[in-house]
Amino acid sequence: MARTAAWSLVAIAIGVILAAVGVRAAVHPTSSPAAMPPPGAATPMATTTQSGRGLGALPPLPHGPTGPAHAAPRAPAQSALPVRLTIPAIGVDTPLEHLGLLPDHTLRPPARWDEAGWYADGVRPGDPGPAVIAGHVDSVSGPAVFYRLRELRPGAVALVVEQSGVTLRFVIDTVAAYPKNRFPTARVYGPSPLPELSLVTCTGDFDWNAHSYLDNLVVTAHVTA
Amino acid sequence: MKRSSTRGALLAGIAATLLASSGLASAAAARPAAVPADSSAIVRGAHFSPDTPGVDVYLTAFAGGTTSLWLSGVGYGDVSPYQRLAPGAYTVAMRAHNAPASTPAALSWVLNARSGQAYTAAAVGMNKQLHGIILRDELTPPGTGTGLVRVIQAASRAPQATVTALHGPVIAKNAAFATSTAYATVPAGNWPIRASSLTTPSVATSSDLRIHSGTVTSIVLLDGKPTGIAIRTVVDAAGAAIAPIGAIPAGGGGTAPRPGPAWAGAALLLGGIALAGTVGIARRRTRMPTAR
Repeated sequence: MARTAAWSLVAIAIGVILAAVGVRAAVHPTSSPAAMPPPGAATPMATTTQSGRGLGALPPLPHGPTGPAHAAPRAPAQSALPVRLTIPAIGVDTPLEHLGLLPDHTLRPPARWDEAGWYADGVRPGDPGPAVIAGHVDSVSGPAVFYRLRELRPGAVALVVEQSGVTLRFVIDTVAAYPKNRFPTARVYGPSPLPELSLVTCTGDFDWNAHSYLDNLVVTAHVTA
Repeated sequence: MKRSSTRGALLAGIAATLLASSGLASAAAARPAAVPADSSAIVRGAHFSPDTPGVDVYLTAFAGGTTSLWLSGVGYGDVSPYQRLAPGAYTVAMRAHNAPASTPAALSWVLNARSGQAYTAAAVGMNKQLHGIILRDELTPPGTGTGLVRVIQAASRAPQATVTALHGPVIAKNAAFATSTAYATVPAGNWPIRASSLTTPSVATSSDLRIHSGTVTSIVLLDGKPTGIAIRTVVDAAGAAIAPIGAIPAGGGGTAPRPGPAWAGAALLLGGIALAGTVGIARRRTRMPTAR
């Protein structure tokens, strides 16, 4: 009897410890979306027209000093191939493998745990449109190249070095997790007027049967001059 | 004793499963919702009024913003690069190039810029009917192997114009001067295109249209210099030529919590129930030593 009781106590102790680990895992931050502005007033789909001169309901234009003209950065016609990604805030410094499609048209993940890859059938970083760089969050035994991606916050900087030696500077806009069965394909790969960059890794719970994480972490950034 | 333990383990297993699933549920609930859109809008300016001289364009945010000179010296046919803009309502104002900002605007209109959307703010029409329009520039991915194309009809010499891809789709049919068409789907490739006036078919021009898969393009029809009409092509947006299907597998699970908690929960309950069972049986035994 005493032996059974002792075993029970051991089991309880193990249970408490593991439960604590479980709780920690549950509250582990998986994403941190940037504040989303409230939806604006309804905008007509096609065109709104407002006649000139008859200013009608428009508020009067404030007079006074004007700010400087904004020189919008013009994207180079064709950027050079990206060869390296560094994200100082989270200690990422990785060469970039070229990623393509698997026969089932899904993205082939990077071959190495410790190196990120650029989707080479997509948009080049620095060209108008969304460039995509993927990296593993962990290997089978420990952290991988994008393990700390979840720590990124809007305003952080990601640098892409081109084969030409030029360094492109991207500023993080959003950090968000998406269930893999609702991956935001249009957002990650769809048309964009300006050069953008998406950094993608895994996050969320790990399905030990499928040996796969349930969510993707998507970090979006825009290029700055 | 053995049976009791087995039953305890079974119960514990069920309880642990419940515990684990409730734990999963709470973890999922704690995860922040996905953010669907960027925090900024994207806008460009354009001048599509054939007989209006160069202008300066100003932007003023409704929300107490100061007026700032946005584009300087914009002439007929010019389309500015895109620029990011905080979402919100703005007044777009045009003045003659180099006119002081304190002078009344020659033209002003409203831009409601929504997060994640792209717009072209343009002055259109002949100078006497000059007015401002806001075009919403498409950012929805075209089907694989295709692009989206629209026509901004800014050629006064072709009051109604048709734009056709040779051996391909009609991109715009009888589009009126100072209007824009909806986007048409055009297969990727190099298309010879022809634009002509409905009323005067001799007023016509040809050009080449290069459509990359996944891109969004505007064809701008302009009055030519010095006569006729001309085609200008601007890329509105570019996306991946082929978008991979589905999510991205990017983790080996090496830092994921092992499926321990459920196991440990089972152990915890197993232990507890075994303890209780043991005590219970021990009690029963002491009470009924000769029951079996």
